[in-house]
Amino acid sequence: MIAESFELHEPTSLQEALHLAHDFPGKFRYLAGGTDILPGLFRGLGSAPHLISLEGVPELRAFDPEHGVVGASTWLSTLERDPILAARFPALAQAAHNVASPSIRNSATLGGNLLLDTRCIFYNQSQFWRESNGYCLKFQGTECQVVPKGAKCYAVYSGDLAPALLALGAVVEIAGPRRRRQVPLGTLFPASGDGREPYRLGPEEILVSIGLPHSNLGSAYAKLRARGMPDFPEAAASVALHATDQRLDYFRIALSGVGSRPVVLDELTEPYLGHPLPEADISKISQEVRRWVHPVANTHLLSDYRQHATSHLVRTQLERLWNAAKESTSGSPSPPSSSPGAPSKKSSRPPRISGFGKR
Amino acid sequence: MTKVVGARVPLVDGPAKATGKALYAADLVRPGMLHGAIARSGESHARILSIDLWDAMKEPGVAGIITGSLYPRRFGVLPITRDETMLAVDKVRYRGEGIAAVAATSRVAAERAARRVKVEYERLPEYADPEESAGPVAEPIHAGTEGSTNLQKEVRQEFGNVEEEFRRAAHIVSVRGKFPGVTHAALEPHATLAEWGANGRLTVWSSTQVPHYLHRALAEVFDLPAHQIRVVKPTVGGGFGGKGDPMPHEMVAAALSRETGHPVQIVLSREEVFLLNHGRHPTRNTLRIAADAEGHLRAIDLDALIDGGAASSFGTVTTYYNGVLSVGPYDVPAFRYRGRRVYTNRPTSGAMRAHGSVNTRYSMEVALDMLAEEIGVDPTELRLRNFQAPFSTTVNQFRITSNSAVRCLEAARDRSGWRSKFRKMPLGRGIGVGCGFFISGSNSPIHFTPRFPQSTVHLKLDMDGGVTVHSGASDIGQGSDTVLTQIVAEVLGLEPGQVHVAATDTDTAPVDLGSYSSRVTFMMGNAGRKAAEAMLETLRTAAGEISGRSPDSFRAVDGVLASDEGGGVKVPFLDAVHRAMEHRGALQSSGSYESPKIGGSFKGAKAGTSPAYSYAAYIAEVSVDLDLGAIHVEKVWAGFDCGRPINPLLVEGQIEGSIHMGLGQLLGEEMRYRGTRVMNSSLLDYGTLSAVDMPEVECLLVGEADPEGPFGAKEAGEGPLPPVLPAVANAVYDAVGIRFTELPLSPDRVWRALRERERKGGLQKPPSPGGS
Amino acid sequence: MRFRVNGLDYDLNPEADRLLVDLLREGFGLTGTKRGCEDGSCGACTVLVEGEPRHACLTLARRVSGKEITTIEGVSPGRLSHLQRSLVDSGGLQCGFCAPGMILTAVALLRRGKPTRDEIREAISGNFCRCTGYAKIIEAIERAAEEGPTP
Ligand SMILES: Cc1cc2nc3c(=O)[nH]c(=O)nc-3n(C[C@H](O)[C@H](O)[C@H](O)COP(=O)(O)OP(=O)(O)OC[C@H]3O[C@@H](n4cnc5c(N)ncnc54)[C@H](O)[C@@H]3O)c2cc1C
Ligand code: SF4
Repeated sequence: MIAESFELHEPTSLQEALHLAHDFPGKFRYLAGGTDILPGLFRGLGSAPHLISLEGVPELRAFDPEHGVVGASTWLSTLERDPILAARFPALAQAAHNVASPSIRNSATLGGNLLLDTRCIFYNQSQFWRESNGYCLKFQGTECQVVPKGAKCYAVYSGDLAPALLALGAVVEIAGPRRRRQVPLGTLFPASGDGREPYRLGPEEILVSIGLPHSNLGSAYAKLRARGMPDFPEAAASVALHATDQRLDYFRIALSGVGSRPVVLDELTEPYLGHPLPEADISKISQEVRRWVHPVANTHLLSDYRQHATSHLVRTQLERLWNAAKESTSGSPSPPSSSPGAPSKKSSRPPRISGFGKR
Repeated sequence: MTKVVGARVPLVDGPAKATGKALYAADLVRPGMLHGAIARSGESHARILSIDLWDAMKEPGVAGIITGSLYPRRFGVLPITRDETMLAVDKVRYRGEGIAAVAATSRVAAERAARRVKVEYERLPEYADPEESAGPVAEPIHAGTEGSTNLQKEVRQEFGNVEEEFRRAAHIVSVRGKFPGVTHAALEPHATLAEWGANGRLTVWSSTQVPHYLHRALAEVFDLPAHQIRVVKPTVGGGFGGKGDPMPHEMVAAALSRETGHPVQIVLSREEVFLLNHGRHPTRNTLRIAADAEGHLRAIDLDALIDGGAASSFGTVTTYYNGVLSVGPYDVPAFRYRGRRVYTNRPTSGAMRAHGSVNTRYSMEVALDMLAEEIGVDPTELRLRNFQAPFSTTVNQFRITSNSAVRCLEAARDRSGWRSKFRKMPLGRGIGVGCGFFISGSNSPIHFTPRFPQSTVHLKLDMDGGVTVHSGASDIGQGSDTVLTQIVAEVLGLEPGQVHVAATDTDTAPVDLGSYSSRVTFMMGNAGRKAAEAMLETLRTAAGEISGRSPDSFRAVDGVLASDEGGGVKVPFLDAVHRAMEHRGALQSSGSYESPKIGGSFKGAKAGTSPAYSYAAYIAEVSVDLDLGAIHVEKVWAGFDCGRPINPLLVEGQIEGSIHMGLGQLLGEEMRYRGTRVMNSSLLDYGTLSAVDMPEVECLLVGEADPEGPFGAKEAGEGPLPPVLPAVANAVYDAVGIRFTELPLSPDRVWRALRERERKGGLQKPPSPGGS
Repeated sequence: MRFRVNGLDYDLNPEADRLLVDLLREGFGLTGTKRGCEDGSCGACTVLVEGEPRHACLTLARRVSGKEITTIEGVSPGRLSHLQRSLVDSGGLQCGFCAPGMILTAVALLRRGKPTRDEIREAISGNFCRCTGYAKIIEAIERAAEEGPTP
């Protein structure tokens, strides 16, 4: 287990980080908690002569659950423990709680989780193993071992947070050398769904934070894993919805662990807006979910099972969330902009970035 | 009444382990130490045409490189099947076999250099399928196998009239089981440090279960007189059989030290540990049982095909055990077995906790459940009808002594509320039973002529009054040093803190066969007891001299030698010691254990014979997630007979740990292969169970004292494992009415079976024995 | 570069690609921190950084210079803490290879208050043990929690 040696850079501002990136075109990777990139580098999955640590960049540490702003460097353990976050964005807290194992979550960050490399049983192997297996399309090789004649890589997007954030309608703030932009999170994950391109960001761009515009959604996250801990999802689903007068005015489902990108099923859910969600529809939706899920045999569990499990996870969450939503008679799906709440436990954090997440 | 024996004495090395002070092989450092790394074959079956070391040698920091042709002498744990070399010679037999080894000034430098070793191969046909290996093959993996096959060992046995019993049987049940390989996954990766001294003497510190086997193998490989070698076992981070063989990297470290003149340390990566394997064999078995109308077993007919991987290891024993250990814990008048172990181009399989018994036991206990259902009796009742009697002889001439199987089952049944649960819980919930037995050490030592004892213990007692105990039994975490301490302390009437075990340095430890086959408590324990008793004799004589009472009247308790004679007297322990030392110096005593002559005289008769057997009866309660197929084991009631436990705390630990390992194999662990390639050689992918996956376990230690065990004790290290798999599988049947005979019962496969059953007429509880 | 481990200062300039686990073991001779898996799954290398459990095999050494690091050697120098005592007495360790990581995880857990049985299970779920089946570890932590919050 050795990595190609690298230099470590520890910038203390966003500008400095971007400058460093600019200095080493094609030769650097950003480093957050390191819990994904380091085991990869030590297995020879890519090389990065320069690692630029983002830990010292204050802007990435923003944490204002009150207003739905979470910096990219926020630890997952913060996300799972914060009571305000858990109350307003249950899916996110639940997803964070389901990542890896507790001590890993003390290092693992939100940004790193969203930008996780895709996974495959032919790829997450040692250098020795991959070399003797002739490598594969994703890295260093020419042919996919799972779908041999295939033109793309089917490595699996296995992040836990993305489906929760997608269901919650998250927006991301991205800083590049010349500009900052805010885009819906979904645009980060290219439609091509090729495992070789887990996400699409400009070469030097840094994910700064995410914003959650809706704080009163009913939401949940559920994950299937091979054993209790610390496994990656074999299938995962998150649902967020809101109803006014027993009619849906927000409804999203997003999935992970079953394809090369996280999937948002707006096409499936949109027709139900403005309607209630009777049991028959819940059945129908969870059946239909299967159409978006076509896992291939490159994780531990059988593909048809993962497809079934996705549908089942969606169904159980829909039942629970709809029952809860029916009861409540709250107003619009967007939060009142000055909602009172318990003061944040982590109020000593650096100041949040402005104007984000309130729309 | 005993004071120290039978008490919940914490591990004597516990404090060192809890503070990080315990030193494992990878923690050791010697002045001038180099680091070794092994270049491994990416081919699984190939002739080596050339090895190019040029680039490797040029790497900075490299001090020496060796290849297999320099050290071609063969070794193997069993003297009859020496088929391993430290590095491949001429040909490679599995992907991951060592080709060359490098010593360098740092771990990273050694690894870099090892990567630069270039090998040219001529590919040979790969054998991944044991069925194929059993027949004639184009290119046998090892020379000398019969009829150009890959057959490593075939065992055929028959006792009683099997054909006749099957003809007359009222009920016949058969099971075809399929079991993937599993591996030990001890938390400590193997590590070795070897140092060739200036005087030509070799010292090896290694994470091994059997220092004396390593000692012996090193002598063979390096063609040295054994007394020129010293093997030291530091703290070992778990073994479970995986550190029982002399291993190639241990030889390699020694060779590199010889070549470079430096001490050399090799620490295996986790992937290398998986490739070294020596875990439980992938096995297919067909088991048929015959019974009379009341459910009394009349015959067992068993066939097992065992995938041995690239070398023999303990495989000959495995092949026997897969058969002969099926006869207990039941009384069976007829038994037939054919077992074949074949080589394949996969990492070698070997001995793993409950060696050779788990897969057969699974098929047997599932078959019994089926038989009970066919006859319409409760499966616990069926077992009670069939348990072998204490102090009896089996059809294959095993001597059975103490046996509390009945008490085990009754205890588990009562505690679990079996009667109100079996077939009575709703669909998706179930309860099941599984039983077993296991040897307390093999009666025939595999390495030595029967004239040598299997275990010897020496005691040394000096002016300070502390007792030093020398033993070659190796504590690998199971607590044998603690057990030995307790036994010696008990006999001499001391606190455990006054006894110090100095185990497993072959320079000082008398020869012992080490830690495997659950032999330690029984054999080392008996030897230790005798050594302590011999010491006590000396001290009694001294106490008699001091006090004028007769030596025989003294008992050792609470740090004194006490006699009731002449109004009673107490001689302090230290006074007796000092008296005995006069004109003689430090006191020494010795005790040894040699097992009695037992077993038949036919070929293979010794396999499976043991001076005593443990018995077990487990009941497990489960719920099955009908939507997702996941099996949740709610609770296990573990009835266990280890005779009289010397240390219930440690016995419970063995039971709970065995259940962890057994459930792992049942529910998800598996050496996954594509052809000959291991797919999951990491702890993340292999899938040992985590803390949130474990059920509650209730240990029921109900055994009676064994007449020959030390203070009545028998084994508890392996017997606790096998029953849990079938107990859970039978509980799953009770829950959903589906028999699983292929492992593992991972949620995806359970789900598939549930769906298939729904399609074919619906999922329902099986009928209850009295008719539903 | 300065590292503060168990209240002591160590001066050493590790290469950028040096992992904390290797710095502790090879650089500082603190071999109580174990290497069990290399993929972050087993938790044998768990240490406390600023009081929180981290995997030393997933942490670049340089990133923690200047931070307060606690390894097993620093939990209770010179004597057994009541958690350590409890682990030994309850049979919560056998081969002992998982014990350092397990103890440090439990130290952090107990500092947060008295955990329930399920919280204990959950907290140690990233620390593999192959010997005990976890039952006695859980029991040991439970017992230690009875004795107070400073393990
Ligand atoms: C044993 C084990 C089990 C695991 N189980 C799970 C699991 O169940 N679910 C799961 O989702 N993950 C799991 N992981 C993976 C990983 O721990 C988490 O996904 C974690 O959140 C990654 O975050 P990080 O901060 O450590 O990322 P890093 O490893 O530091 O970075 C990951 C990637 O993101 C990039 N990056 C990070 N931050 C930024 C930024 N702000 N801007 C631009 N690029 C950035 C990095 O360059 C890198 O390419 C597991 C890991 C291990 C070792
Ligand atoms: S899906 Fe194919 S190309 Fe992608 S990582 Fe797996 S084997 Fe390689």
